[in-house]
Amino acid sequence: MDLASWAIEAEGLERRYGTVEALRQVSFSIRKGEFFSLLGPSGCGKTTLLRLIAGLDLPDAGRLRIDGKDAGGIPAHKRPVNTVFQSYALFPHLNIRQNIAFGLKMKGVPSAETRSRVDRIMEVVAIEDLGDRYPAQISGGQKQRVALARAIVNEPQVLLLDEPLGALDLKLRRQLQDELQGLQRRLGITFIHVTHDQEEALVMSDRIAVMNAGRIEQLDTGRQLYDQPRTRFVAQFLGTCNLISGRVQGIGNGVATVGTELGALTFIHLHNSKTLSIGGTVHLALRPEKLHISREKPSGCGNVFSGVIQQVIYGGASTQYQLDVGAIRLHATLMNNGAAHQFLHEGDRAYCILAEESLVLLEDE
Amino acid sequence: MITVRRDKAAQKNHVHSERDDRLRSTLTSGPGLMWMLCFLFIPLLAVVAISFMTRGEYGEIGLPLTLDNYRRLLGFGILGFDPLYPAILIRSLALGLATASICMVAALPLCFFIGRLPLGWRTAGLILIVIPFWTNLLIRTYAWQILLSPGGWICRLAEIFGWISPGTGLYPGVFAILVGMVCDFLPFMVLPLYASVEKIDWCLAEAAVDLGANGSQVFRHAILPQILPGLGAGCILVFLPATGQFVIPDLLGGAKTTMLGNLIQQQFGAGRDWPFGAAISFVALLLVMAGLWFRGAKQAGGEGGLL
Amino acid sequence: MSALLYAFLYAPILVVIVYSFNAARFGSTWGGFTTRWYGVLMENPLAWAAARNTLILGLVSTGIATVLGSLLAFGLARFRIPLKSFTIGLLRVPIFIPDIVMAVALLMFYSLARQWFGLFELGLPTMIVAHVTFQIPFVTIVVGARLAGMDPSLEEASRDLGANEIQTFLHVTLPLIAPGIIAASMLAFTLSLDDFVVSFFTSGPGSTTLPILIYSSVKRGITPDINALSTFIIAISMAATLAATVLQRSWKYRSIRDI
Repeated sequence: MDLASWAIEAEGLERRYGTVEALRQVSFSIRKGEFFSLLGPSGCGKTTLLRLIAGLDLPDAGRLRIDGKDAGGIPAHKRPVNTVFQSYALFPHLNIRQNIAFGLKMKGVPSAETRSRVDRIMEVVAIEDLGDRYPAQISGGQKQRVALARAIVNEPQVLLLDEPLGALDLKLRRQLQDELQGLQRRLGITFIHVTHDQEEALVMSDRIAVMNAGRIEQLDTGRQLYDQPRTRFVAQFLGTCNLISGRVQGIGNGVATVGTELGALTFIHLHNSKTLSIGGTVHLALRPEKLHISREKPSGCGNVFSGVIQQVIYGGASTQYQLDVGAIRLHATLMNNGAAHQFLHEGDRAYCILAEESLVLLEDE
Repeated sequence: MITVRRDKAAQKNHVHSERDDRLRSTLTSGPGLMWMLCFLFIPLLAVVAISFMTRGEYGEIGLPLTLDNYRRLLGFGILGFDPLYPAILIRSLALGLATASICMVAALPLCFFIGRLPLGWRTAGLILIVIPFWTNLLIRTYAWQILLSPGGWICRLAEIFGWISPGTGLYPGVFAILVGMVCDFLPFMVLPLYASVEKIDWCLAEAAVDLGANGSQVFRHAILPQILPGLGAGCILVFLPATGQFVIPDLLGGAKTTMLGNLIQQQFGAGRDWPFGAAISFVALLLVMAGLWFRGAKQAGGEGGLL
Repeated sequence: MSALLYAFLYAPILVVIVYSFNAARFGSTWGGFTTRWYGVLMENPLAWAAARNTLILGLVSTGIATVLGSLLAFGLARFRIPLKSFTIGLLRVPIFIPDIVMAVALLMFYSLARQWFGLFELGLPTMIVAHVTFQIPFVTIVVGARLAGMDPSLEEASRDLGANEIQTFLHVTLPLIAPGIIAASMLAFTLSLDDFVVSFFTSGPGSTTLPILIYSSVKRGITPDINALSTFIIAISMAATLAATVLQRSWKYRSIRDI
């Protein structure tokens, strides 16, 4: 791909704090104009990565290019990157207008131009009438908008957002998610968004990097991450997932057989995924909504097992079932669309079907 | 090849930032630190050095190096054992201890009293404790001379109760020193203790009552452990400076109540025996260090900060 | 009980104020109300000279200590410093050691420096140096507390928005710690005004301050005009303490509002 189309290129980034390895060999590239999310539990290194890009922290090893230029020697205040901080970090001693104008003032932009740019950006984020207030006098949602305005008024190449919606209540969050996404499309700025909220990442992002223990576990579109998780961590971090382990018994024509605690399972095995060997341990993932259960034994398909319903949780649009097949507990989610499964109750015997095309082979050893 | 280059680049980055940090810390902390080294650390080193030197005939400092100054302080003079200096040392420690104890006994009910006041009054109660502390110590001390001298109303009251014989005063003497000390150091006890009292979890006391503890048991087992840190801090803050106090014993004590501070002062005044004065100062310094170390060891890993 | 303790704390202050209006010259008898001693005080040239010295000493030492102590606190809070624990230990010393130990240490140091280099003739300059030395730790503590309470992401936000380090310090850090610096300088000034022991040992001829003047009067026998002088000092200290308290409280409220 053409060099000029990458906003961020990271290669083997490492960062240690004492004995803690916050980042281990992190490499990735982000396209210009992309809405990119870093998703992971707290302590996974996503904020550290954001700070390295902002220049607020330096890597111990590795290299980072911003807009094709090596960022190694560029201090934070000279990078074409701005940040929306988790705590917003609005200057309490400056009013909203002065807060937004801060970056332009530091760069020596003439005051007339500063005024018009600040006016315009305040209009964009709909805070025109807050100019004379101080940060202590505005609400959380308003602070979020000010922090956003203060960053994008500088017209950065890349905007970094550190859990920008974390402190807001759910309703405001949904509204601002929409607004952020719309804003990003309109401005065409590359957004790098840190979050631990999987739904937020799925809804907003073009691509998502799922991080765990200082590594990127998988970098893909939201759909790919959900449908084709590569590791157990990704499978379980995004939504819920049934994990089944076993040993390979046979490898056939695009189909492999695995001996599991449930019994023998067959699944679709494509050549481009992990190579298998007879007797090797493999892990399979299956989303609960792709697990079918029924009272009658279905005919004409494989991977059918009999179990006992342990728990039924009614959730309005869908119902969640837990059923035990031998020692294995499986989760199933069924849409409440009037089908026969409504008649299943706790203690009922039922059959479950693990469709071979729905089983995803994970890369973990 | 690429890895090597990458490591080098990172290394260069790192060294670069460390050198910058040194420049920044030199520019900010440097002058202040230099000042403290020149005018505190070196003078204290001088104290230590001089304490091992000999006093010349005219009070000048000279060689040979000797331990005589410390021996004298411990009572081993040229003429055999002399309890004068050890007595002063012990008297100072006892005075410090007594001051700390009285302050503790006075501060405990006071802190609970303030703690039970309505919110706005609490701050006022504390500020009222602190305000006298900010008025000059000399003034407050010589005022006690007036208050405790013979014929004053406090003395007359004491005469009526038969505590003192008519015509004598409560000043000068150990009693006057103690009064002056407590008056000066009470805030040092009240402030840390109040900080603890304010944080007391009264549910523990209620639980203790619920479990059948009586008043003193509740205090001992449910309240005391919670205020112990504040009590400890207060005791150190009173005991250490009280032991080395110079002005209060000087103004309120008599000839028979020489304390460590007065002894030091004598060596730099009329006595002009700097090596001996330095030795006493160094002992006082060690005492403080020991106290601080003791406190630091007790709350190891606790709150950081300078205090 | 508690009321008695408050009375105990305020009794010495009250007695000095009352006696400054006592017409009787000696002893503890009340000879009627008078303001005569204030007049006597006003015509006492020694008192005026001491007041002048006290003020110069306080202002100059506070100025130096505020700058050095604030910078020191900033460095300690923000950068890796070699011998950090030694520095913090050294700063603790003047807070805890008896005044007299510090006083004689400086006295000996000055005397040695005078012998070897001909520097540090005792007088106002040596007193200023001594005062700065015990003021710096207190300034560092107060400013350090303010710095510690500051959200570190504010300085990062400033750098992120294109401000270099000096701009960040001037436009963000300094305005935010200014209340701490002002409080610290007020504290340092009060400490200087109150100090007697260190001043006493490091003063020279002609550099008598008000506390030294009071001490020598007390040693010679208190004269009523000294009570008047003390009343003045009490009034000034109380006003300063109250002002500082009120200011601090209003800042506290403002910073609470800021959160």
